[in-house]
Amino acid sequence: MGVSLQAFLVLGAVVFCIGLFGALSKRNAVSILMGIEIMLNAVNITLVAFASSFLHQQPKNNPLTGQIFAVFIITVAAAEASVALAMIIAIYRRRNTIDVGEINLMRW
Amino acid sequence: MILVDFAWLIPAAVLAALTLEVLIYIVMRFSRAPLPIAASQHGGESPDGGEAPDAHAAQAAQAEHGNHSTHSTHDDHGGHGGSTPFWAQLCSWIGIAGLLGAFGLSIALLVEFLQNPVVGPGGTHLLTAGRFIHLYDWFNFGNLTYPIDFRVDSLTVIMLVVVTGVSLLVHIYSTGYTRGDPGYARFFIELALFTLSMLILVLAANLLVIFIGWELVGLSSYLLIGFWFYHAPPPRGSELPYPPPAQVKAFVTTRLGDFGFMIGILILFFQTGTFNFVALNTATLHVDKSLITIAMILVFCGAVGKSAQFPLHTWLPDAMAGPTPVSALIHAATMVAAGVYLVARLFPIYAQAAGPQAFEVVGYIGAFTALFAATIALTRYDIKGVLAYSTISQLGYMFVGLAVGDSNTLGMYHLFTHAFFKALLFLGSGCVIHALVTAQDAHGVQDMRKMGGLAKFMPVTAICFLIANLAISGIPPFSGFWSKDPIIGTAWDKHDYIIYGMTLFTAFLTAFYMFRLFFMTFGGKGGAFGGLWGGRDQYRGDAHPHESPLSMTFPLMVLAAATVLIGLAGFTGLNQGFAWFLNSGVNVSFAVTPGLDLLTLFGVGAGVLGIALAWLMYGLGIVPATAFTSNPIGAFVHRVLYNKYYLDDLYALIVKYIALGLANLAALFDKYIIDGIVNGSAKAVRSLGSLTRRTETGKLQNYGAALFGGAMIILLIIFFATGAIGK
Amino acid sequence: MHVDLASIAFWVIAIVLVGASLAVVLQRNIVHAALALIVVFGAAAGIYILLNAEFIAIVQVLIYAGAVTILILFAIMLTQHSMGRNSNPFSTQWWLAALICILLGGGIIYAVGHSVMAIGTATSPVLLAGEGSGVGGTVVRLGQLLYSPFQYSYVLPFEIASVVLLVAIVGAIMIGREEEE
Repeated sequence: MGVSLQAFLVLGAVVFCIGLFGALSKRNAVSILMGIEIMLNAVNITLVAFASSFLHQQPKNNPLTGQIFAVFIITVAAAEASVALAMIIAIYRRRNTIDVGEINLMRW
Repeated sequence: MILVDFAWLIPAAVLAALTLEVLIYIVMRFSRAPLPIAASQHGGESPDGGEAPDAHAAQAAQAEHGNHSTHSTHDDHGGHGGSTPFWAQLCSWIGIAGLLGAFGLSIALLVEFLQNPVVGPGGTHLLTAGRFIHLYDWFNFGNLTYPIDFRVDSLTVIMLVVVTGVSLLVHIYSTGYTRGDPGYARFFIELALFTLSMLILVLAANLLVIFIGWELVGLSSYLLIGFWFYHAPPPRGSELPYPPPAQVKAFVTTRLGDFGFMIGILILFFQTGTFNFVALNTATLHVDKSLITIAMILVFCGAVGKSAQFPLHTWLPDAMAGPTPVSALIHAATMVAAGVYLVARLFPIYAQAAGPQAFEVVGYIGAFTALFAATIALTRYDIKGVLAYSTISQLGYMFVGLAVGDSNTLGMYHLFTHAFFKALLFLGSGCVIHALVTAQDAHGVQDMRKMGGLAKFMPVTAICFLIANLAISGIPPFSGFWSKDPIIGTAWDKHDYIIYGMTLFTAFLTAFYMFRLFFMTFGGKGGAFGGLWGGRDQYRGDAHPHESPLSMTFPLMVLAAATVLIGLAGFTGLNQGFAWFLNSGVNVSFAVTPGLDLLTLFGVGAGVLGIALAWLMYGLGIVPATAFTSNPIGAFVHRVLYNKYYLDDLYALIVKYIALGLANLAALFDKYIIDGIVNGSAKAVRSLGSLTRRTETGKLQNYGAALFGGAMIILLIIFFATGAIGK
Repeated sequence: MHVDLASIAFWVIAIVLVGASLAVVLQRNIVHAALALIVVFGAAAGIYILLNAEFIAIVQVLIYAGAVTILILFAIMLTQHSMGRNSNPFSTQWWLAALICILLGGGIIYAVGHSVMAIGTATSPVLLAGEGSGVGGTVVRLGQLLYSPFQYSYVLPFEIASVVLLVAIVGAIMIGREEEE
């Protein structure tokens, strides 16, 4: 009984913010993708922690919604990672760089 | 139901004619060539071609023919080459028919007024009561109504007869004068519009309607003065006015007076709540006298503009740019008479409700204008210019007559007689101009230095002109004597000695410059009767003068007959009858009945003296004209007078520096403040856009930062709002 | 503070997780960052095990620590001219990102501690591994919830997720392949 839900939530928040910092401050596209993966993991931690919290209250026939969500997030994150990396490679092939500071096609 | 209830038929007849003419014009105009606008390739020569494309060639051939042929008396087309198409002639016939109907109705009205039937309950006579015709209410505003009413009384009837009569004669005259002019049909349309406007003005029962007519007159005079807008400008230094600026000048100058007129109307309306003349006569008696005085002086400002009194007279000489029949119509019956008519119409208010200052202003401005214009007329060489200034001078007489008289009879009687002899003078000068068409002056010579001895060429015109000359000079028994002499005499009787002196001296000047005109035009040294009846040898120009066609001389004869008959009828007391008639059947005598007293002697003597001096200088040639201008003082005076006291130049300076300066200031305000606001707002948006555009870097991370930064801010706001932070 | 095995395990894993995350973000060498990412994924799997989510933990190791990391390393290998130092630079707006992240993280942590919504549940205990005898792990229950066609389950979303994966595979191939001239 030593660890409360709060601890997991704070851990998730801290990891999420570290990942966000990586996604916002890096210039390498792959590095940004890594930051995003960290953020997704942080969210997963939070969801699973909530699921366990409810599991503590209702051990039998628990809907386990948090864990289900985590499964789907992992699934979609895998798809996202594969597409994102394919895009990075395609961009690299065209521009010979993956520095997002030089990729500004969305500029007005 | 009596005839007077159908008085609205008079303007309706003219309106019907106008409408028909416009319809014909619109239908036919499409198949016509455009007006020959003065273009540079024509040089100084003004194009005045006909409707046909080869009109220029035809006219040139005609001018050539005129130069080499010795007898061109049958060349009555004059400079107005080309033929008049049937549809254009149809317009003139319709106009004449309409005017004929209007004139007939006016005469019938006059007869009915003279019969003076009982119309109202209690045995009121028509002459006393007048007749009120309510047409419709323009609009109602609260409990104030703005009615469109006509009122027919003796003053209106006289004006109706004068307006329709003179206009009819001018119509007939114009069929000859403007024959072959490319704007023939348009001319008759504008004449009809002018007449209609004036009829509305004289039939008005209230200030609202009179103002409508007033402005319509201004509009139609604008159109007519600029009738020859496509002519080439006159050469520099010429006395001749140029139509396009002249029409604008007439319009704008009269508008200055109209401003005062409008304020005067508004003061009267706000003080009494009515526009109606009859109601105003009594209502204004109960209002502050000084306020009414101011209002009436302001109303007089309108009359000053319309009737070309000093200082707003400058438009009238320039209005000579219009065709001569138009000048006759403007100066005799319609436009300039409007101001006099207005003061005569409001005479009871001037005399009773307003203080004496109102009529003092009217009288002194009238007298000063009379003298002022007469002095300028001394130096004119343009035949129409002399007549223009004489009109201004005579209008001054009318205002003096209104100001010093016990009733409006004095001024109105002079208006009445002046309408005939001034129309006669202008139409006569039109005959002269029409006769003197040369290759250089395709529109006829107007410079009197190129005339002389024309009496032998055009005797009818000369005789009619002489009659009018005697009338305007105040020589008995012609009509001018019976109307002008009482004005001068009344000024003496009312102890207005300054006005008396000015008007008497003006009478001398009038006679002098009118006979100077006559001798320079029709007579000359060596002519018969001591130079009065000049011969062919006296002619100084190079045209081939000829008598005008009957369509032009007939109106002259009618007007001359009218001038003589009115004059002769004076011995039988016509002016007394006129006074009785005009004052609604009340016996009001002329303050001075012309007779063999000292005043009359002085008045006539001044005229005779003027004629004698002119005879000596221009008829007999005993006193050379240079005798007055050779010495330095005389030369200076002559230069001042010749330049019209430099008033036009002064106005030009005022317009150039003050009006244009103000306009430039306004333009600057417009440019920098108004446009500045508009452009500034656009600029602000643009700079804001270029500022916020920088946020659209196209870099994903900036957007991400904005996204999460926004989320952070929302989070903080929620914390503050729920009081989670900062308790 | 009561010290037990679960607490110790949590704190150890938590410190490793945060440290590895920071390493991913702060490493100047992109390959080192990718290697630290494996540690992050592993630590996260540890957290899942601690939270009685064995299936999630296994999937995490398989997909993230295995497949995704390999993908990322391949991408690095294909796109990097040199694997040397400073292959993972910061952009110029890193200070802004840091500010946002610190404030956002502070806000979330504050909300977790003080939110009216969270106050009832946040301090509640979680069922940690080894506790609650008789539950016997959540894998069976999760399997029933995901795949069972006969009772309440997420089978339809699961199938849709498989379609999403298929589309992602096709899309990745389409995007990533060489363009034919």
